[in-house]
Amino acid sequence: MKKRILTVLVAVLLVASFTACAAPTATPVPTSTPAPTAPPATPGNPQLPLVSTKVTFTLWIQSFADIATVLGGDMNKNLYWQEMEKRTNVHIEFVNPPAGQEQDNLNLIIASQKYPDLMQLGDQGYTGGWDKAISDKFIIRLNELIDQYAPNYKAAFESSPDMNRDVRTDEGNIPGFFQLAPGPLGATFYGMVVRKDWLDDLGLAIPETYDEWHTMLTAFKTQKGAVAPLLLPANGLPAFDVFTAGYDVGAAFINVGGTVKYSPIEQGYKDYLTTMHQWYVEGLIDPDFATKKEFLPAISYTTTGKTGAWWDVTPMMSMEKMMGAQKDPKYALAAVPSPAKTKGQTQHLFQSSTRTGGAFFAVTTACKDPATAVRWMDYPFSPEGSTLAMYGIEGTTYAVVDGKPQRTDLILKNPDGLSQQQATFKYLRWQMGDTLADPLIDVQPGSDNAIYDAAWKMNNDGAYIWPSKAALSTEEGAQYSQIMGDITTYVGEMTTKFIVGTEPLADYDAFVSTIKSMKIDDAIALQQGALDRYLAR
Amino acid sequence: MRIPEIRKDWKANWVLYAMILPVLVFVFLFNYIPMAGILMSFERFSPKLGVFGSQWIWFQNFKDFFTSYYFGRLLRNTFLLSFYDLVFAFPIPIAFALLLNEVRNKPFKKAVQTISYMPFFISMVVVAGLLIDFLSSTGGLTAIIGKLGGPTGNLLGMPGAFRPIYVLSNIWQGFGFGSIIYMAALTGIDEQLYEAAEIDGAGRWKQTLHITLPSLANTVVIMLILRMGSLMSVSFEKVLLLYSQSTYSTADVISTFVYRKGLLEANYGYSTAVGLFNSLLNLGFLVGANALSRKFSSTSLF
Repeated sequence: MKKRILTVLVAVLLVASFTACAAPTATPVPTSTPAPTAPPATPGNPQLPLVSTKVTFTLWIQSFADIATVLGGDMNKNLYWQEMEKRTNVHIEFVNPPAGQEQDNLNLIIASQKYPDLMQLGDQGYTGGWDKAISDKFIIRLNELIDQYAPNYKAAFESSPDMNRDVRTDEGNIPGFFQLAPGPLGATFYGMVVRKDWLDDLGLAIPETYDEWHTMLTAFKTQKGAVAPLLLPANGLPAFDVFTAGYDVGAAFINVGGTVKYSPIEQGYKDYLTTMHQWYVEGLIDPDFATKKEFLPAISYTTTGKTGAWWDVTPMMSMEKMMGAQKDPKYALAAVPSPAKTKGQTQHLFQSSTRTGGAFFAVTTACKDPATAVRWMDYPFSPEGSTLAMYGIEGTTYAVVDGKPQRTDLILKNPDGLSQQQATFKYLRWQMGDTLADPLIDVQPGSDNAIYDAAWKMNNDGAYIWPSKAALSTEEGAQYSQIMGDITTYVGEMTTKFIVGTEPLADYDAFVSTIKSMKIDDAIALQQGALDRYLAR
Repeated sequence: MRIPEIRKDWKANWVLYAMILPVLVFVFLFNYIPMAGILMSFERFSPKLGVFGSQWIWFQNFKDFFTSYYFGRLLRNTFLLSFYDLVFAFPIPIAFALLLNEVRNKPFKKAVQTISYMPFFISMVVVAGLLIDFLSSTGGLTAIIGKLGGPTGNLLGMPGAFRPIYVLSNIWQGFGFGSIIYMAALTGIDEQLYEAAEIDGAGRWKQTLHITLPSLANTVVIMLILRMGSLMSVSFEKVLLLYSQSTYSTADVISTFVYRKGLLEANYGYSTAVGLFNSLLNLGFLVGANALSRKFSSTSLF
């Protein structure tokens, strides 16, 4: 009898655990904005702590690959966030999507409707745009709360007309707290890189045209034994159009003096593919590029002499220099401009920084106390808060030298053997959104970043760059994604095939007419509308 | 069954019923309740508005898919990948089980069996990683294939090589484990039959032909029918891990398309419609195969 009872108990327990897993949770009740009772706050340092009794918010924010080794998997062990909590008395529970799967994770959160209180959005999108995210009651419109509780943020974006435009959507909503750069524009962080020590060995100058690139890559292959003289990402196009700019095209939409053009159906795109195909056949491009899945070039290639030219981002370059020098003391890198068709030709595309960053912190409808959340998000824009967000704690992460803040050795030459990037992850605020951009460290004259910036913008006016804040309306967005979903897939696979040669370039005209038959003209018209509205904002 | 009988049955076996309850609940929760989500395929689904609040567009999602540029290719790729897998990978575990059955040396048999199971327990992600490395332009397998007169270069980037790679690696991964069920069926054959056949003068080959194969036939047919039910659902993870833009033309299948549309582009309604269409095809194949089998042999699932 006892045994029987046990069996039943086990069975019941099993059932209970299954039901517990699937129990539906109540949908969050959107709280209405509390009626303003006090006059709007004025810019300056707020009274600390912000709240007398501890408030807790959940915050969905991007993580990084080795968070487990650097911070034991817990963002609350980061010095900046600890200091923020100490000062504001607001505790943050971090919700970190797996690195590299942010968009999947966000879509799952939206589908499940179990939102964290605050979210770092913008790098990951919402189908239909931010106006729709607000009308869908996913995030809340912040205009009124900002007027009331965020004097520092408001003063920062109102200091320039383009920021004042870019923090708003087409419908005039402010969806969140962006990263703002009221001072000089931030440096470019993405572009092409070559092995400078190889160039010097071979007696070559920094290449400026596609022909000079060809000469250089051939020399890398024959004289330096590079198995993959040039690395390309899997789609054959380094991002931000930094390798196609010489042919006056990008990967998708460009803004040619107010007119929208879709690059793959332009002549320049064909020229680019012709050049790349020739290089691929000659063995100048990584033979495996088409099946690589890395978003950034693999260290196993860039620091070992397997390759001599690739696309890169500035944080990676400092790591590559460190690792490359261990194997080859002469290892040196140079940022190089996008190749041109002819020497001295002015180009129009590079990776641009805008005064308003792409990422922003938003308040979801699940947040029970939006006013406190807004005051908390305003803190990094106040004089004290911005110093903390940009440089950390005086004496620990920075010291003032000649009136300018400088990073200490805790960051630059970490005594625990952390790389600069890992030390940044551990001690500083590094996530985008809800800060002022650091104008000093980023482009200090003579710094690496400033040198790269100058090289990547050489002979380049950036006139064709697509304004990232131009947006489609909800209805347009649905139609647009229906059209562009198929076209993007088609263009992506055909581009690789043209480069590899599985598809002969003679079929390029058929490629263009297929894109046209997939209604690209409708998509261009939609984007033209978005651009017109943006320019008129 | 009349009421008293049910009651008697319940009294005698209620513990058994209690034990199966968790399984029933599991199936109900995870297989039946999600079926309500099929409604999404008739909507322009928005998570915020929910299944009952979203805009109904009836068959528009299906129309969009059927007229899509990729409809024919997805159908062809999915079918061909599964079909080749069925034709080449299905018979091999059977042949392997038969061969192994003839081995009389026990330790050798056990060793072969264990070694052949092993690949099955390697995670798909690891298998894909191995394949990507071995088949790259400098990979070991590429070198061997090149020596044998095959193509050189990055094999995973060649649209023409994707199906052979997929099927052959599937065989390598699955033949050992797939043979277990046949081995089990083989041990169930009455030894007396073999003894009788031996007395009648039948050799090894005749014994296999007239005793082993007919005894195995039922298992083979059931396995085949079950297999038909998933003819249009290829191994999603494997394709996702191995394909790339350069091989979409042979490697992009319905399930990867559903993944891209649904999870990456958040086009839930459309993605559900495509998934539903795929399931209907599978159901059709399953019922068809079952009907055929019932007609030509006495074996069938239902």
